[in-house]
Amino acid sequence: MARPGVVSAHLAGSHFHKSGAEIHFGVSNFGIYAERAEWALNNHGFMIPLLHWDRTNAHTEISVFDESFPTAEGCGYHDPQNGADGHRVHSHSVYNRDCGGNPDFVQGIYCQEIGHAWSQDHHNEQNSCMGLNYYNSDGWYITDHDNQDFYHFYRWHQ
Amino acid sequence: MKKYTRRGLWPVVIAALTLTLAGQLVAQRLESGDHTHAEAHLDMAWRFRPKTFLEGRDRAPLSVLAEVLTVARGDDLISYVPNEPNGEARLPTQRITLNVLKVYRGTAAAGQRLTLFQSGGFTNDNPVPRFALDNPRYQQGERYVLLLEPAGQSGLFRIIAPEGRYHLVQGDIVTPIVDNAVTRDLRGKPLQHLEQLLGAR
Repeated sequence: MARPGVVSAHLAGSHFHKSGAEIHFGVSNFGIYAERAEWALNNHGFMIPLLHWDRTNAHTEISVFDESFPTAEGCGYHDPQNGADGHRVHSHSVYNRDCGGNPDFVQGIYCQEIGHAWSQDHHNEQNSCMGLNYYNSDGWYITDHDNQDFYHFYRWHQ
Repeated sequence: MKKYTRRGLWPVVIAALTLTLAGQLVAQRLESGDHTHAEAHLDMAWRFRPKTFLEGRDRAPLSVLAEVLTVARGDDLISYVPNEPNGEARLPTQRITLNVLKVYRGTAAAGQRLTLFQSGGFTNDNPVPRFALDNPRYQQGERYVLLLEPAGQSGLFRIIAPEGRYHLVQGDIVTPIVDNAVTRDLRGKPLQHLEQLLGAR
């Protein structure tokens, strides 16, 4: 059910099949920069009241981790896995350690890739991490704009 | 009797041709990913994004006009993550073989083969092809102006940013792979215009 009159401009194509008054995601966090990933996860949880992280060490919905990829073009990757019905069933949010360990930058990249995991797209909202290394934004956090997008999408979408 | 034998061979010939064609189709599909799945988006936060075309130009140690000879699947980028199946997560990659047609900057020569690294493609555990919207799949025969840098110590090259990839279409008209403030003035211009910018140092 889509809420009439509400259109979000920045949500990416595929998404988890969820809706309701509380949106829970199973999330795991492994890696050398797990502490910075944790800050990013907490920022999403704080800024988006509808979103609830269910922390786990099991293989569930969103896996957050880092690795060193010297050949790769990206400092951060979001790699989705979709089910047969086109809905997302699993996501990898990855930081490329070859881009260094500046704590704010690591957190900003994680912030963006975690945003992609729940389906947020890049956008040019000033100070949002969703534009980091994409629209020359230097934001390390999501903003209320991202919260609005999340709400409009998951609260009403099915 | 001779005529009857010839007629009897036709089903065998048709079956052989059908099997050959089917085999080729299967081989092509295995090579390029299972396109029965809709393509998904691989999101990527790039290492570098130029604020101007000249900034991107000066970042690239190698700038070339090149033709795509082959596109093949590359080794996956593997992360070792304890809760993933088999303890690892895989990112897909491609290897694009380029034939250099012209060199604007750097150590290369016309006729040389270069291998380009690209994030994207499919993995055995996730057969849906996925590419970044700002770095879509290459096709054999396409021609590009590319601003390149070494991809680590691998001997491969990678584009410096989406603003380092310019597709040439319909009589060498420049089509940037992304449309933004860095590339907008180049869209629809002839190749010579882009070459002047690359050569004007």
